[in-house]
This record gives sequence, structure tokens and C-alpha cells, in this order.
Amino acid sequence: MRTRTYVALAAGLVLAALAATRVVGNDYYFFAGYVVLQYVVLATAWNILGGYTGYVNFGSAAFFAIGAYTTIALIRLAEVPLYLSIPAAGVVCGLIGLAAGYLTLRLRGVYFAIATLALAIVLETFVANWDFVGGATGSIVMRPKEAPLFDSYVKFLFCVMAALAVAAVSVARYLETSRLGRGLAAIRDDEQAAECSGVPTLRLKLLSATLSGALMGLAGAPFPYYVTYVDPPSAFNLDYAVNAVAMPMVGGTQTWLGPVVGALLLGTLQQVATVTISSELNLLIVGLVLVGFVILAPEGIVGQVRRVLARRRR
Amino acid sequence: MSAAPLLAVAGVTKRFGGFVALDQVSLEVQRGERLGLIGPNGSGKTTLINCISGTLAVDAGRVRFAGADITREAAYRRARRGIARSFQIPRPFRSMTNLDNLMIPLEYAAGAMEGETTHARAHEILDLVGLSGRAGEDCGSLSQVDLRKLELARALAAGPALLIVDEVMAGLAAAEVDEMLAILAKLNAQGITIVMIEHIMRAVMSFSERIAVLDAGRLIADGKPADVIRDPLVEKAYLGE
Repeated sequence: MRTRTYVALAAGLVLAALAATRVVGNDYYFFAGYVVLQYVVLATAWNILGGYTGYVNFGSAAFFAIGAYTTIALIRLAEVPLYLSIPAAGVVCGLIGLAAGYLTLRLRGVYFAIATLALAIVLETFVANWDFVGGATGSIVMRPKEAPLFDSYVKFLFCVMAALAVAAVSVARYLETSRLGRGLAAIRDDEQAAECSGVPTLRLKLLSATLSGALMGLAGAPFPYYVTYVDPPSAFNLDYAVNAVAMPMVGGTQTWLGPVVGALLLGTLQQVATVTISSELNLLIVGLVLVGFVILAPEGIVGQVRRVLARRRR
Repeated sequence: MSAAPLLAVAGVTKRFGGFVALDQVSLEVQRGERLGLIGPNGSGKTTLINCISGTLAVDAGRVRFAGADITREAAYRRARRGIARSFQIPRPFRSMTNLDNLMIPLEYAAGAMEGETTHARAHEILDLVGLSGRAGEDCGSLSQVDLRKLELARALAAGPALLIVDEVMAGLAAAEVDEMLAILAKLNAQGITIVMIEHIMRAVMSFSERIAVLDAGRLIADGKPADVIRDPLVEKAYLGE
């Protein structure tokens, strides 16, 4: 996709989201749409380290939660508004990504995945024992009475998340075609060969972990305002970690479009299932779809479509 | 001008647990030289290359390149200094096209910018190794022999002063061996110093100006091909008593 087309499309989507808040009255659609968009950000963020660089992070929930808790800590500290706590969450989670990367990126494959899972548990224990942000009992967040320009706060949050999704996807899209992105792909394909070709692998991996963590933090920052009550089990929920892995895998990990497609598909499916059947089924659905894709289309939806198109062209 | 060697390995030792893979190996390579590195399987040839290119850290000894001590330098820095290598078992970037495989070292080691001229340079290198017209193909579609050519091409794309080729001719037919030798000779004529690890004796003997022999992690001979081949130690290493 040409850059001009992409920019037009991205701007169009944000405008469409804004327009929808004017036309559609039912808040529920924005309530559900927020979650789907939040997964677009999480899946895209995961894919930078997982898909582009080849390091599977099972601790996405921790980054998401730290993003949410950054917002809570800042509210407790000085009533810091959302538009400041979002970038702050990005910085905090980026730094955690950097530090965690420094500790764990020497590990490869499944060992790295285990290390990230352990990291998530350590962070959850830490937050559960930190009384300032509510500890294990959690904390209640008061939404502002009204959002400027919007008739409900959920609509406002929906538009915030839409903007974050567009920002995250733009970062991923830029990475993909940049020198940096090619370096990450070289690391994913063969780290030693990459290093011998002049790629500073450790530095690039740390950059990738930082960027990925920061974007996950952005996704979590508005969460306290969305749910208004946050406790460690809800913020560090396994749902986030599993979805962040499954969505890019289902959509396709090689391109920026893959996680978007995966998040829209699985995210919507889960929202529909929550209303029609039960939210308890969500992880089961994700698991079944993931298993199906790993067996039938390991390159994901985007990869499969590309393959078919390439074959037809030949 | 001084005749300082391009590469100087001094007293390099590498252990894997209790196993001594390299034992006090010292070796110099002059600018523009063609050195053959031979030895039985498991004698430490590839380990020595790994220590030179930086994928392994040495336990003792020093490595100097173009006058600088690079013993503790990361592999990517050594690549940027001009040490390029091919891998014994081809390790292409599998998700990329042949052209993109070369773009990595061109951008990261040789400092080229993405664009027309760099693409032209990549095509030039692919032509040189005999992969012309296949730039846009995925490297997964290459045969084992072509993958070896791609290995060489990728090493060349880094713009090396020292090129280390690790069994780049294994599995090649006689005519292809000659073709590969011609390519390497041409590169050497352009001023690239070449260290060749090879089991095809005909190729090493005809190509090398000097041959170094490793056996069980020790350098047992270093001299003109004709002398080395007659060395009783070398004969013993290869054929036994």
C-alpha cells in the first residue's frame, strides 16, 4: 500500500470513528468497539517483538497492566489527566521493556517466552503489594463528569483508542519498510548471520522490546477510565497475554496488516460471544481458532491471501 | 610501507567445557594473500573462524585486524571493519528475497543507503556469483548449491577486506568448483584477502599461496602448499600412523 493511500485511509478511519459517535446513539457499540481497538494496539505492539523480531512475549498483560497502573498512580499522585498519563504510560512501559529485554533477550525461543511469563507474575505480585495504587483490593477511578465535545465518556474513550490504534499501526507500518525493520527481520531469520552481516543485534532487539512495551503501555493507559475499577487480576489478565499472541498469529505476523486483521476478527468474535453466549468462552474460542490456524494456515490470514494471490499471478 | 599483517591471531585458545577446541593458535594473514586452512573434521577450523569473526569469544589470546585489537569486539563491529564470512551450512535470511538477503550487509556493514545504486550493487554481486535474474525470488526456492552462492554473495555485499569462505564449494560439481575458484581469484585480484576452508584438496592446493593446517585444535603446519603436503605431521593427521 502506498504511503499516501495509507495516510488517507488512516485519517478516514479516525474521522469515521468521530462521525460514528455523532450518529450512533447506543453507547454499547463504543463500549465493545473500545475493546476491539485496544486489541489492535496490543496485537500490533506484540508483533513488533514477536512477529518482526521473532521473540515471543507471553508477558503482554504485564505491560498492559503497568500502563493502566501508571494512570492510577498519576491520578493518586496529582490528579494527572488522561492526555498526560497516556504518554507517561508509554515511557514507563518502554523502560520496563528495555530493562526486561536486557535481562531476557539473551534467551531464545521457548526460554524467552517463559522468562516473559515469569516477569509478568513478578510485576503482578509487586503491584498487588503496592498499597499506593490499591494493592490487592484494587482501586476505583472516578471518570470526569463529562468529556469535551462528546455526549458520553465511553464515546470519548473509543475515539482515544482509535487514535492510539492508528498511531501504533503507523509505527509498525513504518518499521516494516525501514532499514530498522529489515534488521529486525534478519534477526528473526538468523541471529548469528545477521550479526555477521553487520546488524547490531542486541541493540536492535532492545529497541524492539522498548517499542513493543511502550505501545502496550499506551493500550493500557485509558483502561482505568474504561472499567472505573482496577485490581491486579483484571489488569494482569491472561486474556491480554493470550490474545496478544493469538491475534497476530491468526492474522499473520509478517506484515502490519496481520495483527489488525487478527484483532478485528478475534476481538469482534469475543465481543459477540460475550453478549450471545458467555464471556467465559472467550479464551476457548481464541484457543480453537489459533490451533486451527497453526494447522491449516501457519502464515495467518494475510500470509495465506498473499500466497494465493502470488500463485494466481504466476 | 610496513608489512603489518591484515589479520593477526596470537595464542588464541578456545575451550568448550573440558574440551580444548583451539590450543594457542597463532596465525597471520598478509594483505592480499590467499590462505588455505585445512585439517581433519573436528580440528577446529570453523571454531577459529568463529573466533576471528566474533561469533565466539576467545578464552585466551588476541585477535588483531588492520592494526586494531578486536579481541573483545562484537561480531557486527568486526563485520563493519571488513571481516566477512560465509557459513559452512548456508544460513540465509529465509523470509527474504535473494536481493533483500544482500541488502542487510549492504545497509548494515557496508553503510550503503537503500536506493537505486545499492540495488544495482546487489544485482552486480548476484551476477558475479551466478545468481543473475533471480534477485526477486525467495531464497527458499534456491538449491543447496545456489544457497552456497548466496552465502558468498552476502559475504561480499558487506564489502570485506578479509573474506573467509567456509566450505563454500562443498557439493559443487567439478565445473562449478572451477567457476567458484575463478570468482574467488577475481575477488582476490581486486584486493580482497581470502581465507579458504575447504576439503576439496584440488581446489585448496591450486588456489592458496599458503596453507595452514589445524589438527586437534593445534596449528601443525604453515607454509607453501607443496611443502605442507609433504610434511610428515600433516600426513599423520590425515592418514594416521
